[in-house]
Amino acid sequence: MRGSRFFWLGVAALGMAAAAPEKHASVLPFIHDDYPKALSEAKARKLPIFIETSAPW
Amino acid sequence: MKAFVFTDASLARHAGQFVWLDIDGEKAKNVDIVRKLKIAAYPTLYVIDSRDEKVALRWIGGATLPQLHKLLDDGHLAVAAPKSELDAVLARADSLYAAGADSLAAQSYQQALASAPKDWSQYPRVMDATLFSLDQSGDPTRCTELAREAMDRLAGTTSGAGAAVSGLNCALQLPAENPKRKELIALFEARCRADVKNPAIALSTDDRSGIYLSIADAREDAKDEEGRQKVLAEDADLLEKAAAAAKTPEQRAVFDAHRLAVYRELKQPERAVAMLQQSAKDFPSDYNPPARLAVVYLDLKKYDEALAASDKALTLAYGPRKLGFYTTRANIYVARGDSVSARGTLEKGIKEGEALPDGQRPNRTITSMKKRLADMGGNGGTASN
Repeated sequence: MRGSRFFWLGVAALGMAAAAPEKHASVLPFIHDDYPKALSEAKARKLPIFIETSAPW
Repeated sequence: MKAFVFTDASLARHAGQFVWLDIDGEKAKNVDIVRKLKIAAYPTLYVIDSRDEKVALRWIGGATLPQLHKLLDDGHLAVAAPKSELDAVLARADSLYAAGADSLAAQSYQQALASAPKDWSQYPRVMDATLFSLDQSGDPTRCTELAREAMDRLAGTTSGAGAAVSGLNCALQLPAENPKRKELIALFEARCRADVKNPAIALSTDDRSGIYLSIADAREDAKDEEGRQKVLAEDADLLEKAAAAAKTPEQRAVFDAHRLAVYRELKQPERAVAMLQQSAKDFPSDYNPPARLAVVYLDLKKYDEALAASDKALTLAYGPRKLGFYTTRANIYVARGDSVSARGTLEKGIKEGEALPDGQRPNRTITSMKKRLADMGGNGGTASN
């Protein structure tokens, strides 16, 4: 959604943007902050990697 | 997305199709992947082909649950070998888009759109990326043309609402002498107004808030301050109802940034105080609530409280985001008439920023802080900071 994108870009520039705090219960088995581990696992399982990049904004 | 989308049980069907990774782009340990991905904004979602580590698909911004399901399906297609000329053109466009080559990406995406069948399943995602590329590469005219087409073709859908708000944002960038400018703004604004209140369109609350903000921009462009205030008030009402309906503190806090931005636009920053104090209590290790409180207290001219909140935020913060907190702190000192401490604070922030690794170093922010420091007369000496 572009509205959100422009909002986030604008608010980030103001230094006020935000995402949810860290506590969450994802139904997907996310690896946290470890690209080498994810890559190694993906190569072994012959799968693509899905990455969500975020910041505690 | 962490609070509302990735928690949905329907995503479990994709669990075995990818290796799942989330990264905090501000952490020093992630600098290599941040540099590799050339991340332009947060959140951004990627599908990476693990065979060659190339980005097969990039999506900037959050996604609703239906959009995420579709993205994951498209991600599978993107890592498969091209089966047609259209697949090859799309792969090239996605590759350029991932590299941030917006102008070239826009050209390639338009080439793909021109040769795609009318019922092409990837049309919504590709149009979204095309409009974003056109906007980023400074082509608002073409952006409005395509947005108009997409808005009608995708009417009543999340992507259709996205096209309308993209069109509005691009129309507002058209030069004043453009004879179609006013007509286009009116066209897109009317659709945005209809979409934002249409419960049949699957939009997250922050998506709806983003649409309201674009409508407010249109009212500002029309020099209609009363209309702008009315739209912002509707936005605040929407966000407050969503926060009140949140089932967890995490879900409630998602709206803090939107609410703060709208309250400040309404010149009512005091409405954010209780909300941020609650978030500070719920999330004592999160630097965002005190950082935002510092901004609010500065607006309210409560400088001691602002400095105390700034202290807390700087204690908890890390990475490039911290520089913004130094800037806020400098603003507090300036407002208090203490320019020596303001300069010292900027110098300290610049020094920390320059020490960040390439890929996480916010060069534009550092340049801006240096200019500000120079305008203030240079060396900050030994003032408090």
